[in-house]
Amino acid sequence: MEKNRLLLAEDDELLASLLNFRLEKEGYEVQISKDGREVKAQLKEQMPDIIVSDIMMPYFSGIELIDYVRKELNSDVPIIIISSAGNEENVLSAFELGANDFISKPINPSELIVRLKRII
Amino acid sequence: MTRLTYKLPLINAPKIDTDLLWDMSVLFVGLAVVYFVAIFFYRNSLSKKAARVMQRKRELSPMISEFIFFEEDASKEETSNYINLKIEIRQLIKDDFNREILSEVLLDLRKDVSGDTQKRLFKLYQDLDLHTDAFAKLKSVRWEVVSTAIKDLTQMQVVEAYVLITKFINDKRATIRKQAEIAVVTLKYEGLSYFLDTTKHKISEWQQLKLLEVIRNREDYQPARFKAWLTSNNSFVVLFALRLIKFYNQNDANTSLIELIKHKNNQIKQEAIGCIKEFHVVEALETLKIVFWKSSTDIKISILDTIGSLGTKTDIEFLQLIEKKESNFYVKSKALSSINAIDPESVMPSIGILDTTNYKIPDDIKIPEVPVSIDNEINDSIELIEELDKVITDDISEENTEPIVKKQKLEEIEEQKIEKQPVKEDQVTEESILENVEVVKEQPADEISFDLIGLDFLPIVVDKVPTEKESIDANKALNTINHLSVIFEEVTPIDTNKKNRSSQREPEKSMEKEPQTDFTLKDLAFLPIVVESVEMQPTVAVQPEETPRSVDDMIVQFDVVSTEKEHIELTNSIAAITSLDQYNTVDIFNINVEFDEISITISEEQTINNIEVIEPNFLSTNIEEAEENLMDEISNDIPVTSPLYVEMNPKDEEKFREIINNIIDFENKEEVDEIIEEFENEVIDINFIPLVNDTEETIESIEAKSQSQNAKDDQLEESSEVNTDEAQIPNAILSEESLIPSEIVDLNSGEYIDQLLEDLSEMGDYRELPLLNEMLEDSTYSAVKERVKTIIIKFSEDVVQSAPFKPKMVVELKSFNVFEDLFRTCDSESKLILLNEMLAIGDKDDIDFLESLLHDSDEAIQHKAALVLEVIRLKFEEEVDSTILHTSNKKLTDTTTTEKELIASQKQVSKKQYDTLMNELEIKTSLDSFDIFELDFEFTEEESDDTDKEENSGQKTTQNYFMGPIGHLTNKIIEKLNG
Repeated sequence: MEKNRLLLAEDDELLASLLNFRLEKEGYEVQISKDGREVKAQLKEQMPDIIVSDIMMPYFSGIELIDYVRKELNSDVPIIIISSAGNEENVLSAFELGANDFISKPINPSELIVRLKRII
Repeated sequence: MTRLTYKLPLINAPKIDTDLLWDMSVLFVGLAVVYFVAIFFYRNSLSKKAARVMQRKRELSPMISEFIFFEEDASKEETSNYINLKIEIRQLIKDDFNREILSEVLLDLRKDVSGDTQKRLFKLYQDLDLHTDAFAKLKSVRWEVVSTAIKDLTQMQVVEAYVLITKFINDKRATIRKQAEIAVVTLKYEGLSYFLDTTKHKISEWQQLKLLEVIRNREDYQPARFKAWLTSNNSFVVLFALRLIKFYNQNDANTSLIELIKHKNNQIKQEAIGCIKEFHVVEALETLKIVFWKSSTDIKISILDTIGSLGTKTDIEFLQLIEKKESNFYVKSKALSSINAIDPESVMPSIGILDTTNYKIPDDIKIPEVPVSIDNEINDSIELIEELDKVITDDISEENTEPIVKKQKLEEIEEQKIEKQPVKEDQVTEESILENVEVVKEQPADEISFDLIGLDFLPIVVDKVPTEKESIDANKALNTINHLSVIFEEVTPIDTNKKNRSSQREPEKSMEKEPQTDFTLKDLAFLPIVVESVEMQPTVAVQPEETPRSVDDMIVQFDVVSTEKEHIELTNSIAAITSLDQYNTVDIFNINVEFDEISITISEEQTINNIEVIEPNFLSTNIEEAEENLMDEISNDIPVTSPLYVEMNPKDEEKFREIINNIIDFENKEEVDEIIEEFENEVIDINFIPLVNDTEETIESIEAKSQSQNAKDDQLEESSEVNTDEAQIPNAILSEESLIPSEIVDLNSGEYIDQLLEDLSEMGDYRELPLLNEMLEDSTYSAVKERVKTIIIKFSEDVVQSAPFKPKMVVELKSFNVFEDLFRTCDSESKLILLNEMLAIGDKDDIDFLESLLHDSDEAIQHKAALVLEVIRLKFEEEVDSTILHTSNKKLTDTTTTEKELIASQKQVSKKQYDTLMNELEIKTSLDSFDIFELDFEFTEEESDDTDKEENSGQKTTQNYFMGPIGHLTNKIIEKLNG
């Protein structure tokens, strides 16, 4: 069975590593990007099956990422946004721009898995 | 005269010691260089350290992930990796730097994760003994170190630290104290009580808020009765308690609250008044009045506010008195406002109000007539109706047809509005308004209700499939139904969408021309046909032969598969379906029906009369008429559409008997015959009962209908979603493969047996003898028998040549021990760590290995192994004891007290011994049932155990019988592979 390719855009390396481990265990093929530039490069290279992105990222925020994917790349790949608590405005903007779901920090990896399964 | 000349220098410049200057310059340059070099090196070292930290974090994070997400039911390989990782991490954390980094990583991750992962993180922190570092830091003299340690322990939920931290609650250093307060409240439920009991210092507002936040975020927090702290000597505690009382609505402290109004501290007084107002403590009013005169302005205002809220008209006098006597403007205003709160508008504005009694209006000025309000009322009514209508109609359809009627209605109302002349203010009475408003109300209900509101959004609800009679009635009633303009919101089948849309656009036309298009059973196509099973009747598995083209086809094409005893009656179902057929436009064939198992049941009475029994040929029963019909189809290479019975020629019959013989392991042939007879008499004749209806339609007529319908519905046939693969299945019923599982066919195939025997002869040994004997008995082919015999002889010779036969050898094979494997590659230190692990997770399987370690060259290992061995033995004995005790408690309820005591005392001795050993090993016995490191390393083959059990029980289920040889072989191969 082919694995789902997942692009994880998260600047916190520890968290990214933790989520990567969990997601790989769940059968996803995970690519990690630490900042917006890496995300762009990876998206140009290959479009993943799903994107999980932090809102706050260097060079290129999660909001900009959604805009980029939806408008410039014209892709409807599912996007899940990771946001900090109390960041409701950004979450709303993300949804307006076409995010499919959001999960707030602190993240419960099991919850993320459930959300991913629901979307995919 | 002597002329004296003095030579005085006008400027006496000091002599500059350039050497000194040079020296100084060199010195300062040197210092600057040193400074910059130092800065450079310091910065460099910081960068290096940061890089090193980052690098180490990167190395540690996957390890942590593995630890956190390690599941107890992980595979052998994963468990082995996990143990290796654990050893590695144990080695790593011997270095202080690594410990520090690991703590940092865990603390960082704690902020980012929640739920179960967070709990595992806490567990890991403690399991790696990182909390002991924080304990050590608590002894530091530096306040920031102590504060950080307390914070870390709090964040990682180290409950053990509670006692240590409580000591800091009254620390003289405010930062530590505050950190300790939060820690105490966070770590234990009773922490808040302890804190309120013991604190002697001020609790700042900010701190109170933080503490309150901690309490609020605690799950299942049961607040204490905070009135207990209203008597505290610490006024900050009293104040905080009052706030908590208010927050948790604890209204059982009214007397104390009344007393606290008299408190000298204004904050407490203020808070107590707030509670009194919140809890409506009316008894406090008198005390409030007494306290009022000696209070500050803020308190006075609070008291007046409370009196205004709780007081009655009897308190107005007191308030008026205040208004007169009080000099403070704010207090006076508040008193008046309180009076108005008790008795609204009893105090009216008086200052600056002019007397208008003497005012005269000039004669030439007319007061303009005020056009009041009937207009407004009507306008409001119209707007309301418009809005309502808009909301409803917008949601349903933009192409609604009501607007014409609605406009007429609105025009009428508009006309009425225009006809109304402006009236004078004095003419406007309540009655007149009502009268005019009722103009709208009194409209006939049939004119207003449906047209204006629009009931199009309501779906048609059909609670059952109509019977034939009902359907006729329904046709009659169609005219009535057609008067309702029904718009279907449900998604209708694709091919009917266009029709529906067009009918929505021209509803009136379509209603006239095609009265059924608005409400046809096409629109119910999404509903599955459900025929209810009434009683515990045997079921018939019905499968479609091919895509049904009509209702009739569907009926005819039902193919009987199951072979159970039952009576069938389709009367009701057929009646229902044929009634559906009356709706000619019904697109019932687009229904994607799962024909897995439809339970069809009928009452016995109807069955007797209506069922036409068709039995298979080989059972000497036939129905010639039906057969002839079918033969026509077969001869024309048309797939059998009506397999109402099963035809079986004598050859097949013979095969069938053979299969039965092969399948069932009976002692003798008589039994087989008996079963077949039974099958003939009871089972078969029921399973091949034709589909029957109690209407007058015969099978032929149904077929004829279906053929005519086929022509009409060719297009529908293409779009049908019924799985055509499944539709081919019924033909397979005649073959023996369909009667027995495919595995059996494989098992009996020559190829399979050849392969099996080849494998056995190559890889097998004397242990295969029972299997071979079994095969010898079972096999019907002489060639196979010969081959089996040869292999048996070969293995028997092996047995004679080799050591004496030991059937228990398989059982006694040494099991795989993960520790033994790891020990081979470990140094002494790691071995000691592994021994610790064995202590934690080892079991009786490790005893042999531990015994071998008693002869190790390293004395430390010898000693530790001896201790661990002892502990494991004790643990094992304890387990056995507890099992025995458990079973004996059930059986021997009348056991004497002495015996029980004896068992208990033995257990206690073992427990003590165990604890002593654990103490000797400096290991704390965990009370927590869940331990991330307490893994059950049971590597025994469960499958083989199960097989043994089954063999011992001597019960051979049919499945065991068939699958037995495969199971045996697989188990044996696994055992061999495991050595």
